[in-house]
Amino acid sequence: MKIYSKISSKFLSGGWFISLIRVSAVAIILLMLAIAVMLTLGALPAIKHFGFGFLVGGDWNPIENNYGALPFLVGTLITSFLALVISIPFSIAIAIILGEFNPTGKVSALFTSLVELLAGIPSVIFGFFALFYLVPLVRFFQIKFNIIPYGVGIFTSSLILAIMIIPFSASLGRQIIKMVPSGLKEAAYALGATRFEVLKDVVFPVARSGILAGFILALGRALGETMAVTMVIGNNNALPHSIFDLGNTISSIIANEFAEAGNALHFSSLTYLGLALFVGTAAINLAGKYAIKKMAKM
Amino acid sequence: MKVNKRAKSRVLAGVLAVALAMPFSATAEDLIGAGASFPYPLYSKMFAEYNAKTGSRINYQSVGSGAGINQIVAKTVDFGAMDGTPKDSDFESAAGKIVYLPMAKGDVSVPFNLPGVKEIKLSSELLAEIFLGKVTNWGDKKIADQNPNVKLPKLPITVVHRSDGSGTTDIFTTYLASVSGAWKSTVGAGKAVKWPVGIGAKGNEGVSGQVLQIPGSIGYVEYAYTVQQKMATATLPSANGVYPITGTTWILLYQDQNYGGRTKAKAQELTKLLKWMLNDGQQFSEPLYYKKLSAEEKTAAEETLKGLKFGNENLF
Repeated sequence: MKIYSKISSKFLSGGWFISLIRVSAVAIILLMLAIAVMLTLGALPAIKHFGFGFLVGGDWNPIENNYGALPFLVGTLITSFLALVISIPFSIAIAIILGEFNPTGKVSALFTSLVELLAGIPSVIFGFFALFYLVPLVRFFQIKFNIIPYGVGIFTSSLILAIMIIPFSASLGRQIIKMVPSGLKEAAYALGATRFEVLKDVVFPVARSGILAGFILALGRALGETMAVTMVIGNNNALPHSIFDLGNTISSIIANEFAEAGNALHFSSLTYLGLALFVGTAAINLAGKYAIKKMAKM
Repeated sequence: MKVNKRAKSRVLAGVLAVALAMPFSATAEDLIGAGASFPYPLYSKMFAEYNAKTGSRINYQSVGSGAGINQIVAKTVDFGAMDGTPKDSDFESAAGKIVYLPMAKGDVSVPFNLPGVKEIKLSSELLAEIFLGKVTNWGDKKIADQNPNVKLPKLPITVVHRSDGSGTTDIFTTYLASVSGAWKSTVGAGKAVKWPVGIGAKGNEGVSGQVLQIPGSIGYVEYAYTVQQKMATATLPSANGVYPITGTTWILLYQDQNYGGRTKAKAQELTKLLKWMLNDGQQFSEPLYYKKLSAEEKTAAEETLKGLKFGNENLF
């Protein structure tokens, strides 16, 4: 009985729980480091062979064993930022409607869960949707405007990416806007401000940094998205010349060629691309965090 | 309540025991293979039939030719499988001689999408020029000259190729390199190449899907896909009545079967299976749109099979 109570009191003190969360936290950091180390080791032969010139090389030729990352870096950046630009008006509008104008009620709850549901749809389903509906639509307009009617390409990929990332920025934006203290808003209304003025001069300045955080989260998702992009980008390894051109992103070229990369340098170059994406995504996230901090202080 | 708990934990223990034992439940004679996805439907059928006949189980993982080569070299499987042309450089790091046996052949067809046109003839040089991006419109005089009775629309040509590394690409580019000097010198042949023009799509289903969608497109896919999707395919000049774009799919194994603690019984089980696949197994090729081995190919493969050893002992 005595022993039992001893164990019980030790259990209840929660020391084990603190240890558990410490171990979990450290494990995550170790995992990140392990991924970085694994990618660097795998990429080492390609780093030795091509150096940093790899990042600006425009040729990707598995037969001649010459690899350059530029077309994929450009493809990744264009699709992601274009998707972000397309998504911004929609996600801000959704965040305002569900966060400020209609924060409660059945209709609002329905739309909120629909937006969040959008985030949970597997990307291959978005890929199918893009392939069967967006591609013919884009092709129809390309024929009308006398552009080569591929249907697939960078623009189509950006469209589907925009749809995929809207829920991330919209739902974070909605929560942040909802959290703006009502005292501030009521004070503004009391001074005779209109609804638009309250939104523009009270809600937005307060929620600004949180909304930006949502966009950075969405951008991160767009940078790494693989399946849907691979299905509609046209998978061409040349440097794209316009947004209607075919292209390839870092993740789509890896998805395409990794399984059958028999040659050691080919394999290593794909890993080098993975490392570049890893570092690039981390850098964009850090830059975003810095921007959020600055904005929050303003 | 207490009894219930005990019963529950007993059930849990039972489930755990079964789950833990599963990976080890394979008997000594179970064979493991890995590699090419192209022959997967055929191998599945063959192994199921073989299992029904002999009770032997064969576990085949369709992970791609590259992975098949890596796994047999690393000795983690009893046999590997690959498409295309085996090269000695593929097996450089293998600790022993690896031999390869042909198992089936498969055609690569050239489907196209031209509204109102069901048949079209293309010479091999012209096919190469289209895929090189030198002939860019279906209204081109070169195409019209070879198809005097076909009313060709003036549509731009959209080339569709595989975006993923694949044995099908290897077969197709090997053919183009063999018929066109320009292709050989500017592009070359392999599982992944630097395509001069065109849209890349993932898998046979991706290429056939794009060709079905885009008017004016032309691509290349495994024969089975054009049959299943009822696609129009280009007629190419045959060599002695044989369709020219054909590839062979191979099984890879060590000539000396005594490695990694394998038993002689297992080695014998493998040779028995391979002999059956080369003989009785061939009947399953054609219903699945593959081609049987010719008599000469079969004889050569059986000679290779007879050369297998277990240490110093012969296996036949």
